[in-house]
Amino acid sequence: MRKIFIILAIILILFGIVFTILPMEKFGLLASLVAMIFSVLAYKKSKAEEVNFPKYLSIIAVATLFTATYFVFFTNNEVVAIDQQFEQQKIESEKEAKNTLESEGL
Amino acid sequence: MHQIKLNNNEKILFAISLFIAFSNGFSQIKSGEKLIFSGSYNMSGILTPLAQITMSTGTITTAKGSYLHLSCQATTYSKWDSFFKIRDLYESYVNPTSLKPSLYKRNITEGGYNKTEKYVIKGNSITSTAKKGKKPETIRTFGIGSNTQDIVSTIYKIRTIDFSTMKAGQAKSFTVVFDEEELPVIVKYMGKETVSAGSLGSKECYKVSISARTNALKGTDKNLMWLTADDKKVPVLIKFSIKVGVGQLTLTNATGI
Repeated sequence: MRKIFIILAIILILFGIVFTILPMEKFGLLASLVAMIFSVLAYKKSKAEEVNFPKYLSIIAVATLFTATYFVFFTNNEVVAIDQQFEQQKIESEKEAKNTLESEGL
Repeated sequence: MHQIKLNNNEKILFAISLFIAFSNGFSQIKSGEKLIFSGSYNMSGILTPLAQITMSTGTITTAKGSYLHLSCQATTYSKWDSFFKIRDLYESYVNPTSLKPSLYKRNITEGGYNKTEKYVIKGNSITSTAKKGKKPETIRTFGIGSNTQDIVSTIYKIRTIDFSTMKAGQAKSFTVVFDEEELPVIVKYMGKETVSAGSLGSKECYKVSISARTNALKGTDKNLMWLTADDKKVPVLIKFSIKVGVGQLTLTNATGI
C-alpha cells in the first residue's frame, strides 16, 4: 500500500507541476492537493527508517500546492497583451475593406 | 389646449426624424458599441479562461454611402500565447438599416495556422478570395439565396428579432454562408431567464438556442445565447458545444450600448 501511495503521489506531483506551468493552474491545484494527501498517507504507512522519501514528497507537494494556489487566487489570468502587429492588421484590414467597397462600386 | 402647427419644412423634418427613429428601431444596432467577453473552455467541469472576445461596431464611409462595420475578434490571454496563440478577426460591412452585408472578411491565426477569406457580396452572388495555410490563393464566384448572410451579420441580425412577441419553442430560420457553403441556422426562443451580465449586473434575458446543420456545432439545445430582455438585446452569456468540447463566453464589459 505504501508503494502505491508513493507512486500515486509522484505521478500527481508531476501532473501538478505540468498543469501549473501550463496555464491550467486549477488542475495543478487539484493534482497537488491529492498528491499531498497520498504522500501523507505514504508517510503514515512508512516504518521509522523509511519516512524520509514520503516526507520529501510531501514537501514538494505542498510547494506545488502553494504555487498553484498563488496562480489561481492571486494573479489575474485574464490579461491580453497589446499586440502591435494585430492592431496594425486591423487598421490595414479596414483600409483594404474601404478600397474594396469603393472599387466594387458598392 | 395648445395646437402645434407645422410648416412644410417642419413636416418634412418631422417625417425624416420619424423615418430615422423607425430605421434605428429596425436595426437596433448602434455604431460605437463594444462588448468584451471572457471565453472559457470547460475541461472536466472546470472552466479555464482562454481568450478575450471583442464584438464592436463602427461606421465606415465610402464615396457611395456609409456602412456599419461589425467586427468580432478573439485574442488568447497572454499566458496562453506561448502555447496556442489565437488572433482571429471576423468582419462584416453591412447596410446600417437592414444589416445586409456587402463585404465579409475573415483572418484567422490559430496556433500557427493561418486562413484568410474575403467575400464580396453583390445581390445573390459572392466572389470569394480565400487562402488556407500555405496553399495558393483561390478565387471563386458562387450564388447564394436572397436572405443569406455571413456569420458576423447573422449574430447581429439575431439581436433584431422581437422575442417579446414570441412564445417559448417558436423558431426563426436564417441562412449563413460559412467556408463558402450555405448553412441553414435555426434560432429557437426558449423563454426568459435571469443571468449575471458582467458590468451590467444581473439581467433578465431572452434564452435562445442556436442550431445549424453542420458538424461544427454539437447536440440539441446545447448552443445557447442569453440576450438582455430589453431593446438593446445585448448578448451576455453564450454557451457552445463543439467537436472538441464545451465552453462559454461571459460578458465582462459593455460600452456604447
